[in-house]
Formats: sequence, structure tokens, C-alpha cells
Amino acid sequence: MEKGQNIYIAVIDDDDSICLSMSRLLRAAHFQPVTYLSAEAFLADKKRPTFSCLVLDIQLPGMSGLDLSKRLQAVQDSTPVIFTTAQDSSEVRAQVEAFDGGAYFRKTDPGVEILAAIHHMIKLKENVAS
Amino acid sequence: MHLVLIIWSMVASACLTLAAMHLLVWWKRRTAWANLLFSLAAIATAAMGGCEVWMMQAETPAQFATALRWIHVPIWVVIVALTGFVLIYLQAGRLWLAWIVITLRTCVLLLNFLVGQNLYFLELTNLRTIPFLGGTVSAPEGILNPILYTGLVSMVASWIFLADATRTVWRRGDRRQAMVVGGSCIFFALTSTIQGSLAIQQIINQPVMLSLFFMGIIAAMASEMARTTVQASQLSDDLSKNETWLDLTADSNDVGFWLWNFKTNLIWATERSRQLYGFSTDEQISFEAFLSRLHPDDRDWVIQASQKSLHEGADFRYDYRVVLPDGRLRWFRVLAKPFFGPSGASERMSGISIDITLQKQMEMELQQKRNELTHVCRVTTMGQLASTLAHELNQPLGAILRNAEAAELFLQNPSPDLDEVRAILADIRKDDQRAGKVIDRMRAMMKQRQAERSRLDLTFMTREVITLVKSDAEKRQVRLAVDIPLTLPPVHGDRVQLQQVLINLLLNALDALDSNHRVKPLVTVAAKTADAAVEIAVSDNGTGHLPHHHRGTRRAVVGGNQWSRRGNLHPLPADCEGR
Repeated sequence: MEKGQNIYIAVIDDDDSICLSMSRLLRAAHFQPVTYLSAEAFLADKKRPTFSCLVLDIQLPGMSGLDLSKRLQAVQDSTPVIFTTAQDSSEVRAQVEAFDGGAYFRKTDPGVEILAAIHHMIKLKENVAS
Repeated sequence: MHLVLIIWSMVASACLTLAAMHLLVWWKRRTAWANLLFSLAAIATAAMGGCEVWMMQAETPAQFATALRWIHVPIWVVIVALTGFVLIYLQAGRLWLAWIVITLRTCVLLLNFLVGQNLYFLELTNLRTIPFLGGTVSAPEGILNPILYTGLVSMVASWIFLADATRTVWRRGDRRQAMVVGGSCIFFALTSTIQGSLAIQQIINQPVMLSLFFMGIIAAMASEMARTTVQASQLSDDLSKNETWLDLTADSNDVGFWLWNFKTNLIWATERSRQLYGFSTDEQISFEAFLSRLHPDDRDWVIQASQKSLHEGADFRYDYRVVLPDGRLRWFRVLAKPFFGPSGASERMSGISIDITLQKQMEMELQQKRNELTHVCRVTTMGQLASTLAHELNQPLGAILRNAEAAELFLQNPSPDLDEVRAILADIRKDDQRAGKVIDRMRAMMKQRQAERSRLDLTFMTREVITLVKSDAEKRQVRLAVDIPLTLPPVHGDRVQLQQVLINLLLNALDALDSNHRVKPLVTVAAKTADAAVEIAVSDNGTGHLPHHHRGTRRAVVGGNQWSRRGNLHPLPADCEGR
């Protein structure tokens, strides 16, 4: 990934601090983050760029992260998704695994791993596209 | 002559012996007027006998006349004493009749000395010798005194008085007493008068023998008094039996009876009471000695409470601790009652002390168990809260992590954007505080998953809590002082949360008092407005659970939007133990 290349990544989380800190990490890793405080806000953004990846909180007020993801799949949007959660439990994990194509991270997992997962997913998608 | 001396001296000595006995009784107990009157009557009867012997052995008419004159002094004494005895001892007879009898007899006595040689003779001219009891005795001859009949009038008055008194006693139902005392008095008074008059007027050939008849009266009185003495000693026996019985009852129940006499400031106590308080059987117990047995912390309030009880005439019902000479601590429940004299002054206080040490120990053990259970409940609740707690905490912790990771990456840049790094550090600090607040809130929340914030009336809310805790405080004999102004500004907060915190504060304060029962265990709840917040302080005057825990104040501060705690707030017993 060369510098100057605009790889847009969406951060969807109802927590201000998480949005801000996550977007900082992504910027430090030379991505172009765009933050949304809810799934509804994401969908409502008509001028949104083409995202290479979504960092999506599972527990969102209103439409949940999983609901949004299903909805995107329904419209043939195959943007890779990184699910994050502050409440790790076997139930939540099972729900994500049942869902095809997504990585799962706790909010307290190391950022390096999340970044690695993003890189991996973007590469996979490029391979599929080419 | 020989036999006369023997009989008369026997009568006199019997009378004097009885007199001496009853005089001694009166000397010991000055209110026993009946005994004194009886003694006087008995002494007078002996004197009467002396005068009679004097007459019988008179060698000249003048000697006989003098003896006959002086015999009226003991007669007067006997009649006055007998009248008084009937009034006091039998509680019978009319007072005005008694005065008539005494006045008449006094008149007779005066006339006896003023008119003629004596009451019977104007002039005693000659002495005859008459045979009596195998010997000879002197008998009078002379000119009879016209006032002789005044003596008879006085005797009639006496009979009327005695008959009336006897009737009263009879009607009262005390027939035996009426027969023995009243009946014999009348009989002997009557016969003595008749015998005396007939002998003087030489109608019968006998000397005057009044003393023998009066001896009959004395014997009747003595037998009656002896009966009373026997009854009194039986009563005393019964009383001591009752006391033994009371002691036995008391022994089986760990109950001690006692009586505190204010006049002597001494406390009479049953054997069991003495054992309970650690006094020996013959030790004198003053109020001060009793106080020295009390637990030092209980002395002041026991004095105050007993004074209050005396002042208000109310019952004394309290539990206090006693430290025995060997250092053992006992709990007593005391129920006592003050008694007042006719003037309204307190005279004595009597009561019972029940050893409730075992009961108290059980209560304390139960309390300990309850505390443990409460602790377990609280811990369980915390477990239930864990998942919520994780979510709430992971948000700020995740943000802190991302920020730190981002800063690391930024700093790898040869020319890092330091403003960005500064912003990151500020955010890290903010999130850290946020995490701390979450912990605070979760701890306070305890049971409630979701806080519901509303406008609260703290005055009302605090009073609700106090109502809940009041019974607990009362049970532990802790006074709850409430100083909550009626107009506190309304605050925003979760009612249940705040109440739970306040309940915990109050229970902790009560716990702190439990281990060391103070002079007056007191928990104060006070509220005041401070800046933009309301401060509710719960303080106690105890020494607390641990040696280093001094009397404490625990506070809850309720702000406009947010509320937090400060000071020694410890909702969990675990915290207290960890201190």
C-alpha cells in the first residue's frame, strides 16, 4: 500500500471516544477513516465514499451492527466487515461466526491485530476483484 | 397471815414480771403504746396488792386509813391504763366515754385525798381482827364517808365504756377477743367493786382483795398479747418461708429481686441478686457499690435513667451491662418501679434483674450471621452486575488502547505531529476518568441494572429511608437524630440508588456502634446545601469495627445532574474489613 493512496474505512460506533481513537489509529496507519455514530447515520450518508472496510460495533442503538451488515449483503455490497464489541460473550461470537465473511475483535484487543485483519481483507478483496 | 403474804407476793411478782417484759418491748419499739399501758396496769396492780397487805397488817386505825387512801393511786392508774389499752389495742370504745371515765376517776382520786381520811371513811375509829386464810387480818370500823358512792359512779362509767367497746369488738367478728379481754375486764371490774364495797362496809368478813381481781384482768390482757406475739412470729416464719420460695423461683429463672431504700441509700437484694451482681451474702450494698459493678460506659446513662424514672414516676426498663469482680461481663434486663411516700417524695425503688447474657450472645451471633449473609448477597449482586460492568468499562478502556496505539504509530514518524499526540493524551486522561466513574457508579448501583433519573425531593426521600432503618436502630437501642431541613433544593438522581446508599450508610453506622455500646449510642443524619450540591452526612459516636476506626462520618453528595460519594462511604462490609 503506497502513500497517498486513498483507502477509505468507515468506523461505526455509538461511542465518541471509540470513534475518535479508532480513526486516529487508522490515520496513523495511513487509512482515510470516516466515523458514524449509528448504522442509520451511515446509511443516510449519500455522499459516502467507497469503503474498503467497515469497523462496525455490534451493540449499536437502533439498528445493530449485524443488522446493518445483513442489509448491505442484501444489496450485494460485499465490503469486508470488522466486528467489534465491548461485551464479549459466546452468544455474540456465535452470531458473528454464523455470519459469512467478517472478523471479530474485542474493543480491548491489540490494534495491530485489527490493522492486520484490515490489510488482509483488503488484499483478499483485491484478489477477488482482479 | 403467812399464806396472805405468800399469795400477795406471788401476784405482785407475776404482775411485775409481765410488766417488765412489756416495758422492754415498748423500750425497743416506742410506738407499741399498748405494751406500755399494759406494763403500767400490771405495776399498779402490784402496788395495789402492796397497799392491801399494808392494810391487813395495820396495827392502828391511822395506818389502815393511810393505806386505804393511797390504794386509790394504783386504782386510778389501772383504770386509766385499761381505758387506754382498750382504745389502742382493741381499737374499740368511744373516745368521749373514755374521757368521762378518766375524768370521773380523777375526781374520785382528788376527793379521796380532800374529804375525810379517805374515800370510804370520814374517820376510821377502830380496827377489828378477822380470821382469814388460817390467820388473822385487820379490818376497819368507823364513820363512812358520804362521797363513798362517787367511786361507784366512776366504776359504772367504766363498765359502760367496757361494755360498749366489747360490743364493738364482738360485732367486728372478733368474738374470742371480745370474750377474753372485754368479758373478763367487765367481770373482774364488777366483782372487785362488789367485793371491795362489801368488805369496807363490813357486810362480809373479808379483807379488801382488789389486786386479786385486777390480776384476772392483767392475765386476760397478757394472754391476748401473747397470742398476738405468737401470731407475729408465725407471720415472720411464713414471710421467711415465702422469701425462700421466692428465692427458689428466682434461682430457676436467673432473676434477682432487690429493693433500693433511698432513706438509707442501701439496696436489699435476694441471695440470687447478690450472686448475679457479684456481692457476698453479708456485704452491705450501697448505691455506689452497685454503680461500681456497672460497665463504665453504662454508668452515666443508668444514673440519668433512674433519676428520670424517679422524677416522672415511670417504670425503669432497661438493659445494661455489669462487669463482675472477676472481669466477666453480664447483660441484665432490669424492670423496676419507684414508690412514693405520702408526701409525694420517692421512698424506694424495687425491681427485678434478669440475666439475659445468653440471649444477648445469641442475638449477637444472629446479627453476625445476618451480616455475613448480607455480605454474600451483595457479592452475588456484584457477580450479576459483572457483564454490565464489563461493557461499560470496555468502552473507555478500548478507546484508551486505540489512542495509545495511535500515538505510538504517530511517534514513529520522523516529524511527529505533537499537537495530535497531546490531544491523544488528553483523551486518554478523559477516558481513564470515565472508567473510574463507571466503577463508582456500578458499585453504588448494586441491584439496579438501569438507573432512572428523576427530580427528587431529598427531604422526603431521606425520611423514607429513616423509617426503614428506625426499627433496626430501636432494636439496637441507638438513637437516630435527624437534622434535615424542610426545604432542600430538588436534585436529579436515581431514587432507589440514593436510598440504597443511604441505607448502607446508616447500617454501617449502626454496625460501628454495635461492638462498643456507648453512653448514648447516637447516629445523626444531617443534610445541608453546599455550593450546587446537597450533602447528606451520616455520623455515629461509636468506635467502630476495628481498633483504628474512629467515630466516623459518611457522606453522600448529590449534585445537580451527577451524584457521587465522598468521605468514608463503604457500601460493602468487605471494605470495612479491608481498612
